[in-house]
Amino acid sequence: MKQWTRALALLFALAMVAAACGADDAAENAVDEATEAVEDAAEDVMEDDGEEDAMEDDGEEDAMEEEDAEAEETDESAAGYAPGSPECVAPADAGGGWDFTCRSIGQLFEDLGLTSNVVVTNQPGGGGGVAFADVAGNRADNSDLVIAASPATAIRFAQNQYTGLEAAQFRWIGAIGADFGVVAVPADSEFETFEQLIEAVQADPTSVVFGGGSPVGGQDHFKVLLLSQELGIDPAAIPWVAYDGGGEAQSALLGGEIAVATLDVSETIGNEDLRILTVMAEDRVPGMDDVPTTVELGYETIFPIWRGLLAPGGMSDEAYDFWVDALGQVEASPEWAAAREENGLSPLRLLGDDFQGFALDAVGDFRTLSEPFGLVAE
Amino acid sequence: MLSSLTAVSIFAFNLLDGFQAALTPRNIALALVGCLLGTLIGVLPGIGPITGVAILFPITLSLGLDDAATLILLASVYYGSQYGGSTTSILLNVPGEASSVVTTLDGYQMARQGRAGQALAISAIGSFIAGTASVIGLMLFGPPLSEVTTRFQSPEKFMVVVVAFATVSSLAGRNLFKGLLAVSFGVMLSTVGTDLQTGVVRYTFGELKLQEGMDFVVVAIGLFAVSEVLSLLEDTVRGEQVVFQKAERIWVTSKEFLFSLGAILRGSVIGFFVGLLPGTGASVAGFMSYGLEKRLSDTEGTFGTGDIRGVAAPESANNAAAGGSLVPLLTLGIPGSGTTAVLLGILISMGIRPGSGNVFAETPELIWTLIASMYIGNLMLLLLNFPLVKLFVKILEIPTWFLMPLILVISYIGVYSVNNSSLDITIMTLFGVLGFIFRRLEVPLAPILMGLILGDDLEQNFRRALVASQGDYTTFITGWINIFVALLAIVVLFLPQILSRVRKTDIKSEFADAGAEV
Repeated sequence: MKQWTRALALLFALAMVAAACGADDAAENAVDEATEAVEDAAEDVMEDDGEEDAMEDDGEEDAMEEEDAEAEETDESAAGYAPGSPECVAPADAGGGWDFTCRSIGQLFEDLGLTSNVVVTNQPGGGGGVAFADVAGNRADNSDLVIAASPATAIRFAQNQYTGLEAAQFRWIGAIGADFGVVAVPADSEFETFEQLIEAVQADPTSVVFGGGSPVGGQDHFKVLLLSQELGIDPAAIPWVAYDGGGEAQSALLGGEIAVATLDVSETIGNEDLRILTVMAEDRVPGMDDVPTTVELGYETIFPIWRGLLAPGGMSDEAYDFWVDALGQVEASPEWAAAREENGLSPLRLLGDDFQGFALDAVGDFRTLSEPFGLVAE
Repeated sequence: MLSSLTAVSIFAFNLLDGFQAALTPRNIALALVGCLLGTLIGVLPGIGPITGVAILFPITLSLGLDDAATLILLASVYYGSQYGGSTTSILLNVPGEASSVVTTLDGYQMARQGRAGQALAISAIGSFIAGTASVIGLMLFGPPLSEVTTRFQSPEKFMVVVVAFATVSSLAGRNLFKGLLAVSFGVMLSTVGTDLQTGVVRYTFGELKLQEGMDFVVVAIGLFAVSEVLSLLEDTVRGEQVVFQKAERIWVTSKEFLFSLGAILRGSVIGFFVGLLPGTGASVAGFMSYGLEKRLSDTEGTFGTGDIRGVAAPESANNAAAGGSLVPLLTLGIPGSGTTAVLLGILISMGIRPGSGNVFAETPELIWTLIASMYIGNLMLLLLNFPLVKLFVKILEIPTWFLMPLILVISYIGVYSVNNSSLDITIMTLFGVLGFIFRRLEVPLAPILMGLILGDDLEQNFRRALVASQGDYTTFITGWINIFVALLAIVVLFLPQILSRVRKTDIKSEFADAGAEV
């Protein structure tokens, strides 16, 4: 009897192991598929490049024709295309910024009568890489699909963290609403103005310790990198301490571990313990009306943490125009203004080609600035 | 003084809020289920509290319970398993878990003399009194200490983790070297993923899923549950058997209660303060209070032959320590045992990060609900155990061939349900085999888990401190907090070694038995 039971137990255990191995095989298949997809995608890029070259040859002639055609097309496209089963992919778990973008904008697409019910898909993993690999590999020509994006997306594209994928492989629809970067010091800091801080950093870049809620080459650090690039200071010379989120960076700032923190408007608004030296924007933002912006102070650098959408590279032109138009209508709606304010975002309207150009430039900037830190993957 | 009095009354008020939150019908039901499951887990040989909490966590996630409900359920499981562990110590001479090892000394003797009922009763009563005392202690010590620790900067945070690693490697396992080895292995595991300082991705071998690091639940279930099943399979094949004593009626006379009351109260106080030390858990507390009680009140040499105080003291102490260890857990983010390490991992995954913020101020609802539910769990266990102990003992008759595969199935389903990732299944299986090998080599497992959970804090705070101080290493011994903490680390690391040299008795191995599965 006892031997029987032992044999049973062993059998069961073996079955479990076999099941686990089966799962492994499935995993390998999935991985294989993913790599294939990525390889395909890479090939696509090559092809696209080729096509673009070809385009450029006779691009001049076509441009005129296209412009003529465009005026007619926009009207037609709005009427000519409507997504059958609209979907918004948030490349992260529920609850984050990308999830917010999909849910709030998707809801307004529906409420404003622009689309039918928008399905939000959460596809976490690899800082968005899992979702982008899936879209580029399996659904590259899906016109009903949009993906939530932010500067973090652009940074990962710049640093080749989405293995085998390029920013230009996607169509950038638009960004509506942004949080802006701020440069913060404790209320009792020796730095009373942004100019004083810049003077000190220019005199000795190693003398002021900066910190924020992201690693070297992450969102908060880029605020320092972009400013130092404009000022002609070696960015690697400025000490950077990375914290696990803006909250932790703030307590380090108030505890005196770092002298300056680069954070966001939404994280610092109304905090009496902090002195905000500048907001990295063009126009003053609501709620921080007394703080000068970088542009006012004579710099070019701004840092909007925009909320936007992009689309698979194979999306048709009609569909792209439809989504650009729809996003524009959402931006103009009072409902969006309310949702934006509730989430501490300032107004921003960047649509279609303007946004595509802005985003690709940003990816280029981020790449140039990341290279000295060895952060651009092969 | 006045301000501290008002402060205390505010905490008491918060505790009442916590009770209010915990005392909804659903939460009481969850606590009841948790206590029953926990007792079951504690009674069953093989699966201990770490395994229980680790394999139940993914299941609570897939049930869609909110954070408070999850904490209530898992805390009750934790308490229940402590209780169940004592039951098998007394009836079987097999400690269900490390913290009740010392209970076997007098508990099993009492059972052999037909006094199992008294042993079980005093263990339940002692645990309840100690649990009450430690909740009061937690209320007094937790919030003020949390105030202090919010002022900690990177050097202090780094040093606190050093102390935790020193304690856990020195007290877990028979051998300091193996303890340190286990912690280091855990720290190595924690380096997988994206490095926070430089943004560089480390040791992911191209797996996108590993960029966010090793999932502690997967590692914990592999290391504890899977390897436990493997070990038990080995024991079964070898044909090891246990004989258990019967408990007829659970009762204790008022004379026996009064006789043990001193031991219970002393055990509660010692247990709580041992629990306060970062990195030490319930098992050390049990040994210390047994040792003290023996020296203090064993005038007739009855300890070890079935003295009721020899059950009362360690059982109160390990329960008080479980409460006490919540203080470093909630204020510094330092777990005192494998199980609280798992609890910490769960809190972190809920977005509560003890140690880097004042959790008593930031998320008071959750924290006080957790504390209140532990207390309710204690009371529930006291009421449950008297009528149901016979039923619990019956569980021991469940054959291993049924139980062990069941645990495996639950583990695999649970792990898969967290991320729907087959990679997790592979990792868990690997850690199961690894855990089995480590058990055979007597490398303690809990320090690995501590290393994994705290390794990131150790590394990141070390590097932050150095960047902020521009590479000045003296930043770690600047200020009285750092000096005190550094000295504490040294004392904790070498004191057990020195003491056993001096006294020529092997205190270490006493602790080791306790700490083998801390």
